[in-house]
Amino acid sequence: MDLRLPSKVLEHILSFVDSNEDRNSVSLVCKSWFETERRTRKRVIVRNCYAVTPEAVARRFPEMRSLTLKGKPHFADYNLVPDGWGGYAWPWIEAMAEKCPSLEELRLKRMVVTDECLEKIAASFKDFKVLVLTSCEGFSTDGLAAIAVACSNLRELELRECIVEDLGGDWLSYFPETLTSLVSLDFSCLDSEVKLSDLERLVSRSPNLKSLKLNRAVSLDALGSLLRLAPQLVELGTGSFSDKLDQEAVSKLSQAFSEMKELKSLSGLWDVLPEYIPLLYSVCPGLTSLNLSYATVQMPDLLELLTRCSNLQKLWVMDLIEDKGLEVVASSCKELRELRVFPSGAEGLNDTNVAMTEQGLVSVSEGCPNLESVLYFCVQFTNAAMVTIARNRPNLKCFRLCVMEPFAPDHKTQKPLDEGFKAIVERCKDLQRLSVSGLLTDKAFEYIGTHGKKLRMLSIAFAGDSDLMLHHLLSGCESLNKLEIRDCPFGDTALVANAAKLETMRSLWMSSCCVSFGACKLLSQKMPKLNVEVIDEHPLETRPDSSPVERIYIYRTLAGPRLDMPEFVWTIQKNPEIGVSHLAIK
Amino acid sequence: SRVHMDGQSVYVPPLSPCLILASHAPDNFYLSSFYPNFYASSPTFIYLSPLFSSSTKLTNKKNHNKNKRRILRWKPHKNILINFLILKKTMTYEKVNELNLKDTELRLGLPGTEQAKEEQEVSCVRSNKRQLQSDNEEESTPPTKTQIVGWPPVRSYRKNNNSVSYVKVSMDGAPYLRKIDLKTYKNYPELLKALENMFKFTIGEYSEREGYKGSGVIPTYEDKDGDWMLVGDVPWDMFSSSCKRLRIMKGSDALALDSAL
Repeated sequence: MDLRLPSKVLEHILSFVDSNEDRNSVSLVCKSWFETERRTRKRVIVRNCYAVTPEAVARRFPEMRSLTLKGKPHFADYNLVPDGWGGYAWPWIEAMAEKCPSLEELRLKRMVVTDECLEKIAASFKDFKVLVLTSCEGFSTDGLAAIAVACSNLRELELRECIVEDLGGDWLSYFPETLTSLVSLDFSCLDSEVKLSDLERLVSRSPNLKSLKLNRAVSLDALGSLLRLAPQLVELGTGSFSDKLDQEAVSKLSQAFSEMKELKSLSGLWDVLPEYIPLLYSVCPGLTSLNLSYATVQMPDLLELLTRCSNLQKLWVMDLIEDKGLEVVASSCKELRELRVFPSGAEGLNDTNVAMTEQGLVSVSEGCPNLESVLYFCVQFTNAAMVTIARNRPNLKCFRLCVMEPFAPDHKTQKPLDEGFKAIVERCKDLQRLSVSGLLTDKAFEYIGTHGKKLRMLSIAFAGDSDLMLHHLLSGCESLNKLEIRDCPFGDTALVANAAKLETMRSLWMSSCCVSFGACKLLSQKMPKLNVEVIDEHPLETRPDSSPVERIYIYRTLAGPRLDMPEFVWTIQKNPEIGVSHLAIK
Repeated sequence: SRVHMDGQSVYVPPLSPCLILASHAPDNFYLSSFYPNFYASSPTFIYLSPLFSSSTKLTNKKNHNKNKRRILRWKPHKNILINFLILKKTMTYEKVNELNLKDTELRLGLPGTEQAKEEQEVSCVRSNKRQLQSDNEEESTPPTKTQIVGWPPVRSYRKNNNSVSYVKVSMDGAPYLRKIDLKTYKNYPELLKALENMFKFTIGEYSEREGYKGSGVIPTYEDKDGDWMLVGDVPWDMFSSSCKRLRIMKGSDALALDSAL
């Protein structure tokens, strides 16, 4: 008797299973479940574009409608990955154009996207709806024009912090008059001015527009007319907030803001003048997300704004907020979940130093019970503060502390920050992401290895004393998925001893450490399922085994060595004649 | 390479990490090095990064001062244990062969000692910047932080957008300071014209060799490294991103322009 669940029934059941993690589990049950699952998966996420080939993905998921890809390693954000390393979108777009022409959504992060790619998208996917490019580069506004003109059902076009060759603002004018489906438009990273009349017409014929993020070139005056055309916006990124407006224009703008009953997210606010902050008061109570990280507004102008944002869940600010401002956040924004404080680099602006210390974060940790994600740039910190924060907020999931002075100790006791981070990993049992900084010894990493059982991503810079540090992490952190390290003093031994661990992780990045070429070769030989990339811009003619490498990037892959490596990337497959490593690892 | 400490010199073999305990350092001493990848962080710690590492290259690729000497002051802490000088040097073979080992020499010495010797070595360093010898020469230069690539870890997109471009402008003899936004000017002529209007003076003709002739007015600026430079020597983009303050000097102050070419 055939006890198998009919595939039609299974398909129906699977239509309720959205999460890819669950779907991955489903696909492991048996062959028929694998088949049914793969034929019904619509949303595919590949978090390392070199872990698998585009053809393999297209073959496995023929009904794919949405593809998300990530390319370069995270430290590429900080210029640690040389230009030309890789992360090209083209092979993926080419493969999908051929095998999955019904693709509707493409989300790319840290990839190289050319105008050719954008033109190919425009030409190949008839029902293309969503294009979200985050931290991408390689294309110009001409490519955007191609998308605009051809994708007649476009819903989302978002460029988040991309580096775009800006040839002018004409691209916006290529959206045809027949396009009425726009839901989200984000061109905040572009420099050129777009034609205001075209933008206004686009907005007025897009009744479903929910998210609009303008670039800096859109003036305050223009903002007023746009808001009047789209009072239904849920997310708004303003342009420059600094023109001198006359009284009438100001009151019209104020009126426009007060009409926006649905607004939940506000960003942009470039160059905002303090006298314009009251314009925002009417939308504050409804805001759940506020991004002031480009607004060079100082205290006390911020205070009135913050006290009104009682429903805020996500706040991004610069350290101009100071401890005082964070105290106000602690008392007013009780729903806060995510806080990011960026450095303003404002030393040149005025003579007084920005008065933001560890106390600001302590206040927020005391006052905001739902706080679970923190990114905090600070000149210095103390162990006591971290202990307090950990005690207050054991529910932290993401704790990224960047003490901007490399090797800065606890500024009160002058001790390393080991004990502080120990408290964090000990108490915050659900901690998934951690960035450490300041003066740290191997002890700190012993603590992290012992307690950071749920830790998935760890970022380390200028820390540790020896190979032990790496060994603690690789042997202790069971859930470790991504490890990125720069300027730390180790190490072949720990790396090779924990080689097997690397297959359980997505990737490992080490730059300016003391890894030798021989160890890289050894690792490559031992672990065929890993790509061990040595990224050296100044390699030697003959590479002795003991010579240190500038950077290594190790990731697990089913695709084998990639074919698009530039000459400064070495893998063992490239130069097999170098042969077996003679480095003895005990 | 050699490391001198307290009058004694110690060889630091290449390819090995090395730890030096500076427990009896005098109250105030200088650390100087020609090493381009050297920087001093806080008053307490010093880090010497691996030579080959491009992560410690100076961020501004167009920085003509890659080899400029930096003089750093370090005030040691009362606690002996804190006075760690952790030197981690890993040198690639080629660098060892090519380098003049003196280039990596670290010396801890009292202020004023062996300055003259260093001065000589500096003069052979090429620099496009015209360095002004003001009367601040005797004063010790404040500790400057060299830029490390990718540190602090802020996305360059964000860094570019947040570059605070307001600079104070002072003119010798004028009773007040003005503030200007450098971003509103696209080139030197525009800036100079604006300054002329602001302070009611006329500026002479600029030439690369001789600076500003004919007017007795010399526009200078303080750059990111704290040095006072002549306005106009470096490309506009480089100037506008590194200028922290402007000062319009009167030629009658008889400043010597030292062109370190």
